[in-house]
Amino acid sequence: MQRIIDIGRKRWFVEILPVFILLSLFLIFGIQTKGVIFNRGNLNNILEQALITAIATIAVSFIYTTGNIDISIGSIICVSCVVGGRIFESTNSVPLMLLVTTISGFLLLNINGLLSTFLKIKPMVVAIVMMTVYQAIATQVMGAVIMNIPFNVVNTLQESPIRMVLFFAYLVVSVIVFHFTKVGRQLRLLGGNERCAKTVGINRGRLLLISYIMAGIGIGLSAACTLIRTGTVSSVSPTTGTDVMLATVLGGMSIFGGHRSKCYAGVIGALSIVVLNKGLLMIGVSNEIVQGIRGLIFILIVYLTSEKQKTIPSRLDY
Amino acid sequence: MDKITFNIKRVLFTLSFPFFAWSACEIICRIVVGASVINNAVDFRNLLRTFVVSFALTLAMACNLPSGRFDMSLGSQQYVIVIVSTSIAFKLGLGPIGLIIWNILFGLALGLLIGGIFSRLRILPMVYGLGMALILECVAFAANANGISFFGKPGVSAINSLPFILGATIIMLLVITYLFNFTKFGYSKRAIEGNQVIARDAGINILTNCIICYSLAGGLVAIAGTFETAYKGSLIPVLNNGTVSVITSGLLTFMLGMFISRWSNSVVGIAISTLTMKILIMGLSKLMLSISIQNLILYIIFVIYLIISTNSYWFEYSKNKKLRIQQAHEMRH
Repeated sequence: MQRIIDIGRKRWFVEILPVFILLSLFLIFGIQTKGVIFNRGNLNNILEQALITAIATIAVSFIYTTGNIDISIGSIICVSCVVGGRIFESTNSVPLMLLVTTISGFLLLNINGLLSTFLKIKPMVVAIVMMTVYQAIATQVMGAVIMNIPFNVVNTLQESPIRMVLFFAYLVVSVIVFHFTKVGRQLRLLGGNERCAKTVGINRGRLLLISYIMAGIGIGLSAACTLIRTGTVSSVSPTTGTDVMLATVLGGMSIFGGHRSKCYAGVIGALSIVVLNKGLLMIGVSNEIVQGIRGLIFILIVYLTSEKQKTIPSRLDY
Repeated sequence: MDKITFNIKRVLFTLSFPFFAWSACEIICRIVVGASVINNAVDFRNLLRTFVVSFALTLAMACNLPSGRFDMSLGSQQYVIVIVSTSIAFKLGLGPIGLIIWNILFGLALGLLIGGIFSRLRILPMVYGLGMALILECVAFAANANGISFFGKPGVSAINSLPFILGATIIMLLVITYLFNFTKFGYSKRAIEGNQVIARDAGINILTNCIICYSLAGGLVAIAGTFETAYKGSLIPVLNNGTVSVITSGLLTFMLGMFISRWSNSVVGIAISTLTMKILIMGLSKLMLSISIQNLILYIIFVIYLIISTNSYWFEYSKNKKLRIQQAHEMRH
C-alpha cells in the first residue's frame, strides 16, 4: 500500500495520470457506444464544450493555486452573458457584445478580488455572498425570459476560429505567467506555505489581486465562448462552477493549490469531464445518475490527491 | 456595574435587533405603501412559519460552521430527508408528531453517515460538501423525480398550525441550548472551535465530536425541511448543486446570530437574528419588491457588515495610534 502511495506522489505519475484517465474514458465509451462517440459531430461537440470549461479552469487555477476557492464562477458567467446579450439587443453589434461580455466577466471576478484583498474578507465568504448577488442581478435583469441571439450570427461565430484563437492565446499567456515568471512562482509558494511566503517578503494582497486579474481575463473569455456556443441568454447559471472543480482534479492539479499546481491541467481535465458526461448520456445513463457519478469521482480524486490530516480540516485552512 | 444591571443591558441589547428591524420596516412600509409589516393573523402566521424553517436551518449550520466546517450538503440532505423519509412516513400512516420524529431520526442517521464518511476522508469540508451535494441530489431525484406533495395528506394542516410551530420552536430552543451549553458535547464543541490541536491534546475526541455535529445538523435540517414543505405544499428535487442556495441564503442570518450571541449564547443569538431577518424580509416583501431585489438589498447589507466587521480592528488601531501620538506630543512638551 505504501508503495502505491509512493508511486502516486512521483512527478511522472502525476503528469501521466490525467492523460491515462482521458484515454481510458475514450476507450471505455468508444467500446460501449460502438464507436459512435468518435463521430465528427460528437467530437466537435466535445471540443466545443470542453473549450469553455478549459478556459474557465485555466483561469480559476490562478485562484486555486493560492489556496483559495471561488464558487461564484457560474454566476459570473451568467451575468456576463446577460449583460452581453442585452448589449446585442440594443446595438446589434457582435464585436461589442463579445467585448462587453468579456469585460463584464473580468470586472465581476475582480470585484471579488478587491473585496478579498483590499477589504480583507475571506475569499471563500466573498465567493459565496457574491454568487447570490450576481444571481439576483441576472434574475432581475432577465427575469424568466430566454433571449435568443439570431441563428446566422451564432452560426458565423461558431464556424469562425475566434474561440480557438482566444483559447490558445490565453493558454500560452497563462502558461508563461504561471510557469516561467516570478509571479507564478510566488503564487505557488503562497498556496504551498503562506507563512513561509510572508516571511520571505511576498505581498499576499498584491499577489491575490494579480491572480484575480489573470483569472478575470479567462472567465470573461469563457463567458464570451459560452454565449457563442449556446446562442441563448437566460438567468439560469451554467454548471461551469462545478465542472471547473471537477476538471481541475481530473487534470491532476490539487484543488488546494501549492507548488505542484499547473495551469494547463484544466485542458485535459475539461476534456475528461466532457467525455465522461457525454459518454454516460450516450450509453443511456440518466442525468441524475451522471451527476451522482461526477460527485463520487470528485470526492474520490480529491481524497486521493490530498494529504491526510491528523485533525479535522478547520477554518484556519481557509 | 452590578450583575443584574449587566444582565438587563445584555437582554435589552439582544432584543434591540428585532425591535429596530421592525421599527425601520414599519416606518418605511407606512410611508411607502400605507400598511404595517404585520397587518393581520395571516402575516403573523407566515412570519412564524418562515421563522421556524430558517431557525432550524441556521442551527444546523451552527453545528459545524463555527468549527470551520462549511457543509454545503445541508440543502441536499434536506431534500433527501423530505422526499425519502416523508414518503415512508406517509405509507406508515404516521400523524404530524410521528412524521416529524421519523424525519428527525432519518436526518440524524443520514447526518451520522455523512459525518462518518467525512471523518474518514478528512478533505476540505466545503469541497466534501459540494461533492456530497451532487450525490445526495442524485439520490433525491432518483428516489422520486416528481418530488413529494403534502397536499391532502393527513396531519399536514396540524404541522402548519401556530401551536405546533411554537411548540417545535420552543423545544428546539431548549434542547439545542441544553446540548450546546450544558453538556460535555457542548463544552468539547466549543473547545474544538477555539483550537482543535489543543482540544485534541486535552483529551477531546475530535472525530466523535465532528460526527455528532454532522448528525445533529441532519436532524435539524429534517425539521426545517418538514416545516418548509408543509408550508409550501410540495418539494421537487433539483440537480446541478441547486440546493447550495439553501445554505448560502442562511449565511447572513448565521453571521448576525454569532454577532448577537456575544451578549447571550449562540442559540439565542441565532433565534434573535432569524427573527430580525424574517421581519426585514417581510418588510421588503410588503414594499412589493421582487425576490431578486430583496436578495440584492440583503446581501449588499451583508457585504457592508462583512467589510465593517473584518476591518473594525483598523478603527481601533487608528484611534489608539492617534492617542499614542497625542501622548508622545504631551510628553515632549
